Amino acid sequence: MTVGHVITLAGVLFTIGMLGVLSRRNILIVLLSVELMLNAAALAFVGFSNLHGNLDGQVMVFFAITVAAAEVAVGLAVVIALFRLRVTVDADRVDTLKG
Amino acid sequence: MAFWAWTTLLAPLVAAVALAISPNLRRSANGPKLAIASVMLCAAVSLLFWISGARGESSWSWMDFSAWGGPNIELGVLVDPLSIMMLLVVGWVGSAIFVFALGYMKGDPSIGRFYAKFALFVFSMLGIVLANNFLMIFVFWELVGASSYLLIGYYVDKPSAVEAGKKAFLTNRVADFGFLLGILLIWRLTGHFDFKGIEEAVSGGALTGADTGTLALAAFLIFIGAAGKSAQMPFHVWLPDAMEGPTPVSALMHAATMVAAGVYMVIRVFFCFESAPGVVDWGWAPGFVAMTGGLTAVLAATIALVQRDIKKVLAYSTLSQLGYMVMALGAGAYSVAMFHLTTHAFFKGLLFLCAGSVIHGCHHEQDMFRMGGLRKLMPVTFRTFTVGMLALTGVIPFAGFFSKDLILDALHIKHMSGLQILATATAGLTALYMARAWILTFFGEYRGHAHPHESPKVMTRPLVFLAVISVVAGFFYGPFQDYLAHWTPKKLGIDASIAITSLFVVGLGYGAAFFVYGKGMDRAVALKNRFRGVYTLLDNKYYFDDFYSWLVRSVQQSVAALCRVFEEWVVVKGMVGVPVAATMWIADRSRRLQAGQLNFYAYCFAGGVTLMLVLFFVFFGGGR
Repeated sequence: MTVGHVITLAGVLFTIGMLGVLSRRNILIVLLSVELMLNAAALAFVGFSNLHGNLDGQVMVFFAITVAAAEVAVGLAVVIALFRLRVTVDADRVDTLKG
Repeated sequence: MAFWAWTTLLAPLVAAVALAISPNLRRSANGPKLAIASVMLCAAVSLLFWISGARGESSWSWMDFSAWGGPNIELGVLVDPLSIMMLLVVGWVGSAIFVFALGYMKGDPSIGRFYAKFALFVFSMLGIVLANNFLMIFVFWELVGASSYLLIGYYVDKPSAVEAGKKAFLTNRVADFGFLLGILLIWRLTGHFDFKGIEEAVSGGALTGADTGTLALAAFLIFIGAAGKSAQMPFHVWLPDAMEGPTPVSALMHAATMVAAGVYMVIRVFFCFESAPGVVDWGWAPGFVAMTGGLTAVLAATIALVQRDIKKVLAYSTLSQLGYMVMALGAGAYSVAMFHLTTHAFFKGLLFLCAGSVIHGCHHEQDMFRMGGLRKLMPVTFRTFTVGMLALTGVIPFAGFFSKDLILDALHIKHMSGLQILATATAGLTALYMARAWILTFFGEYRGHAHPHESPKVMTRPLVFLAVISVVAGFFYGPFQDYLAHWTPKKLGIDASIAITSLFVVGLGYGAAFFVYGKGMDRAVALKNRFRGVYTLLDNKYYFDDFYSWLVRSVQQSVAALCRVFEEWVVVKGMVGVPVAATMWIADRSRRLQAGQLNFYAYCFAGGVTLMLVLFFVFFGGGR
């Protein structure tokens, strides 16, 4: 298993996540996709860490996981607040800030 | 010397500021006393300077632009015979008036405000007197204008007083603009603002060719400034209206200080006038300075003949006497002008205070036709007014006789025969209108409805003090000219033939007054009906005010309408409106980008990142 495999997997995961963010209307799915992109980046960190033979990248991953946990907490809280207000999680129907 | 000069300058300011910021002081009896003390300090210091023969100059750099090739602007005090003489006038006449006002303004609820403004006015005047350079004189010149506005409009609930204050301020502003231009022209010509530097640069034939022409123009502009403050034609219109202020204000401004400032300033910078051709003398005719003075003297004296208000008579009389002073300036007799200024300050201050006493005694009645017979009721006021009148009309041996005769003498020596005749005739008119006011006020039967009474001692004592000086001051015409030797080209004496002529004319004036007004009003009314055209002309003050109103209404208002069109179409609709419309249009187009669709934003974000990556590889990708 070379670094190329790892990076390819990370790229595929990132692309899936990005397509999810761009195409889905459900905010929960969008959040899940964002998580996918984040983990793709973490995987790339691990791959390069292995390639260069030092642990900096892996340390970075721990930070990323911590931040992601916090981000999900905030994101889900926003979604819940939104649902209470609008009784929907469809992003297209939340357009109050339209110019 | 320097310490006392600065102290006397700043003391009234301290009093004014203290009264302005402390409501308790304004309400207490100590407020007026503080203001009076500050003026009495000035009187004491002036006496000290006079006796000790102090001389000197002390200046302090205020704003120095010399590093950038500009002027070094200084604030400085100059103590020399001229400023000491003026300090004496302002200090002593001012003290008498300040004390008098204590009685006159008694019971006025805002007497503290009155004394604050009064002290501020004295401070401004002292600044003019002590200034050692043109810029400082200009600063205080404007301060006098501003504080005179405050004082004339003292009765803030009286619309006519407020209007009069505005008129005085605006008229002075017009003239001050000329003054400022003159100062700047002098600076361009000589590079100096201080009087010493200018004197060295212009006198003794130091200027040649076109420069003398520039100096003449500068002198003309400076004289416009002086004409504004000293109320010469055509800037005289503010002075009679300024009688709306309380009578002590009229006494201070129109006898000793503000109107004297113009004459004083011309004497201060007399070298500018001496060295400029055509200002003092055109060779074939008197220069415009003397002409202005002569015209003002005679026109004002004729208007005074028909006034009903006792203060208005004195106001026009002041104009007329200022005309005399300016005539003396025009004849190059600067120390004589200063002498007349000094004596006039005392006897005109006295007359105004007497008028104030009469007005106070008659319960704020100013119309002379509702007075009469006050001789018995107000004996002290009557006697002092008589002294003031004799001094003003130039009856020997009162002060006015000497100072007026010296002016006639100066005109005679310069061969200004026309003006000499005019001035002599004005002396007769002066006697006529003063005797008229005297008879109407003090003789005959009382025609009013109040119960006149003599004023309290705090008011009559200043009258007696000023009356004594008005009697004796004239005899010192010789020493006075010696004292101001620097300003005296040729010492003048009393010429017997001129004196007898003028005394004869004055006698004629008195005779005419007694003939017309001595026995009731019948002859006066008959005279008025016979010369109705002349009376209307005089009653309308030669239509100066109407002319100015017309000027403002038609000329100024049409220029203003033109400016308004420019403003509305070019400034508002063009320079402001076009950018506003453009911004609105762009905003209206661009706001559609804010669709409110989360996915649209995400696409934009992804597209932007992709674009940045592509650009990054295009520009930096080949650098491996």
